[in-house]
Amino acid sequence: MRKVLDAAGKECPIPVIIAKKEIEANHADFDIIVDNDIAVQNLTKLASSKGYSVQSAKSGELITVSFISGGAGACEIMQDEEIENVAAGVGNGSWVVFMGKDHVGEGAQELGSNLAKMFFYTLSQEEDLPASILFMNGGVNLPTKDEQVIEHLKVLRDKGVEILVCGTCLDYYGLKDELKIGEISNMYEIAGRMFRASKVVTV
Amino acid sequence: MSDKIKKRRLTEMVRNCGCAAKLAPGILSDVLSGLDIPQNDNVIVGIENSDDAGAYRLDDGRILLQTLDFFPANNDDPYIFGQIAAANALSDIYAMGGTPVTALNIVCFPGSADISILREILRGGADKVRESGAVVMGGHTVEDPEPKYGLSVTGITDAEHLLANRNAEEGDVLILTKPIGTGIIVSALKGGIAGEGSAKEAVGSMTSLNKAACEAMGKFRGVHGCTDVTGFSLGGHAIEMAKASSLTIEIESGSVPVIEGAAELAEEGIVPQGTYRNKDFFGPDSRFAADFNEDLIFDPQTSGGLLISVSEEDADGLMRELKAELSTRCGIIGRVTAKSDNYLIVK
Repeated sequence: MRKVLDAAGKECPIPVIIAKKEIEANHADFDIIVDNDIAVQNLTKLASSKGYSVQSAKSGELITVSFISGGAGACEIMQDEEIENVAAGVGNGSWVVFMGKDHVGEGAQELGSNLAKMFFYTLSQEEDLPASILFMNGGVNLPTKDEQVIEHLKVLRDKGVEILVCGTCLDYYGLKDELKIGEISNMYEIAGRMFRASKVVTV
Repeated sequence: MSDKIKKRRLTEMVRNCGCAAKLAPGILSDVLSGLDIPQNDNVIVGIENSDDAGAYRLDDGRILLQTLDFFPANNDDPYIFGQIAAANALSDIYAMGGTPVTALNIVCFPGSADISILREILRGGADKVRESGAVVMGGHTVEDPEPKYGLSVTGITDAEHLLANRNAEEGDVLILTKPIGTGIIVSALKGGIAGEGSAKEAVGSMTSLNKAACEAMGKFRGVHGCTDVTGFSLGGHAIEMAKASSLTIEIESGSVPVIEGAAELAEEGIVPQGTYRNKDFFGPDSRFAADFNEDLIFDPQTSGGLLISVSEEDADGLMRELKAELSTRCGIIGRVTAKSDNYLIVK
């Protein structure tokens, strides 16, 4: 999985220092997100001095600078549809799963419930993991009562995936004491995760 | 200062460090060109030539010099920051060939921060003012989340010793009295990656007064022009001198003293924002005939050295004097020629 470093909002020279430490620690390709052109120019200098090439892609206020080892330090600025592709790729680790119910799809309840177990198992085996899994409304049945899903969620949690569960929903269904995994959260946090995500997967 | 560790570092409270915090030169010249500046026959040096300090002729023939300089904290040690800010403010008087007489503190400090930090800043400033022979007469403090400090300094000189940046002469030799690279090293210090030797040389240079260099200049009639190298960088201040004198300045890149480690850090992208602003503004007036790092030539300096334009006959004598008196590295870095294709040529 390609590492993404967030240096947005950081004044120079911090983005360069973050990237330099990453190069010295891992010698691998990575992306770093910054919010100003000076940082891009300085990161390009760093890349050149360390034998990397860089590509940068702008998406709104943010610029993703990709360090690619073995390059000559050329900085290509990508345009339009390429930017969209890169922006989606940046989503490694920045996308989220939203569960607003305790089953997958519409139709037979038993099938839907089994599909939910299979979905979380499949997700737990993926290399490209979401940043967060968000449970709301009927979705809160899963981290409270579904033992198989709880097991898969533990695997995901151990891999660093954040699990947020709507506290209002737990109260409504009287499940607050039954929560087996995840943090009790609120609309502000859960909605915020969705708004800032590169993509939201709703099952 | 054992409790200092628990608190936020001084440089973490500020966005830009030292003279790198200067407003972009392009913006400044736009603003100034729209102002109606009243004429006065006693004003010998005003704001028209981007000089270091204003010069006003007093009744008895002496010349009053006035300057003001302050900037956000650029060192985590408040005592050192105070010394740097004061050395930097006093430098403008030395660059005009003057003697500092009085000074006023200018302070911006967060109301919530530890007041003992402010005391250390002022102690550093007072020590440097005392070393200069001037006196602190007072000051003004404003509450501000970003700690800033500097001084307004008044100095005295006479017509014989007044040095403007406009009087460089064709055939002059250029001497720089401190190494460049403080902008890069201050950035690296802020990020915690400056080497010990680099930090020591940069801090030693920034806290050194340009007093001895100024006194050495006073002994040579062949000194024609002078400026101090600060936020607009060696390249920028050289271009201002060349423009004001309608001549071209040639810098021999191999002869420019550079602080230990600064060139390597610049190559790795430790380049302050001010460098890019300087390049944008001064770049069109310069030509690089040698493969020399532009990020060094345009690195904004804090409390930099004097850039002296001196006749060829007096250059060696002045260099001998400077080498005997200064703790910083200095050198002959170039020469002044007739106006050619650009104001600055880096060879």
